[in-house]
Amino acid sequence: MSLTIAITEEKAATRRVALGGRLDTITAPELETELDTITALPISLIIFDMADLDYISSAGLRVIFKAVKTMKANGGKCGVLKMQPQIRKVFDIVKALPDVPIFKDDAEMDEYLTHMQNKVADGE
Amino acid sequence: MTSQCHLTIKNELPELRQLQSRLEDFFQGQQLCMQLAAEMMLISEELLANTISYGYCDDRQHTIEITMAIEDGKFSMTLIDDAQAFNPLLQQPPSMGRTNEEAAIGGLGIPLVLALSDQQEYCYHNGRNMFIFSKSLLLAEH
Repeated sequence: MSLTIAITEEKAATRRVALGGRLDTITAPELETELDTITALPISLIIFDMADLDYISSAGLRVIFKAVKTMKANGGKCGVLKMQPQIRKVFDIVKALPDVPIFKDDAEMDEYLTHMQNKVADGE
Repeated sequence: MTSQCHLTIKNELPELRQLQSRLEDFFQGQQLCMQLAAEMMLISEELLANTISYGYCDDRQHTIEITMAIEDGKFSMTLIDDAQAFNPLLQQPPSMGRTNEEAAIGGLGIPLVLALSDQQEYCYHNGRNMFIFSKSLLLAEH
């Protein structure tokens, strides 16, 4: 099984990166190449949609961390959506992404993003 | 009753796919939980990727011997290589819960190895690293 990567523009300045299959030592470089391209764009949010991701190793975690770090340095954010239990287990073991929101579905993500937008509008 | 499978791979990252295939076949043949097979593969990948990427100081091809076994309700895997002497169990685990950047600084693999297996053992003998890990099949949460 290999890695599938589907990148879509959700709204202006937002990209959804949908991952499927295996994100491991062999496939991580493919994702890194794609993320290096995206994070160089003037975007403010990357959402990692992991609904179809079946396996992740530390190589995959590092690539995601790198993107999170780059976005943060540029004033942007990342979020993670729909982790399968075995993926969540790996993130929990390494206590990864303590400051990145994790959403169980699109509705929860939309609610969070609306809340954040309202905070900005209210000048918080 | 013991069931066993032995294979040899080259010190090249694409060889991990061969291990994945054999491990999955082994678990399917024993009618065991495939999610557990995935966790054992994750442990193997973390150890072997480190060995293959950083363990050799020449450009020669080397081989890594892998044995997987099931005995008395326990799965075990033995990895033997002739890379430089290295005990992954002696590495300091990264402090957890820190920022992404700090957590990302190396060593993410070892916490996964320790958390997903029940026992780990390392020795260096006759120019070879031997790492053995095991997992109880009876207590596995699946």
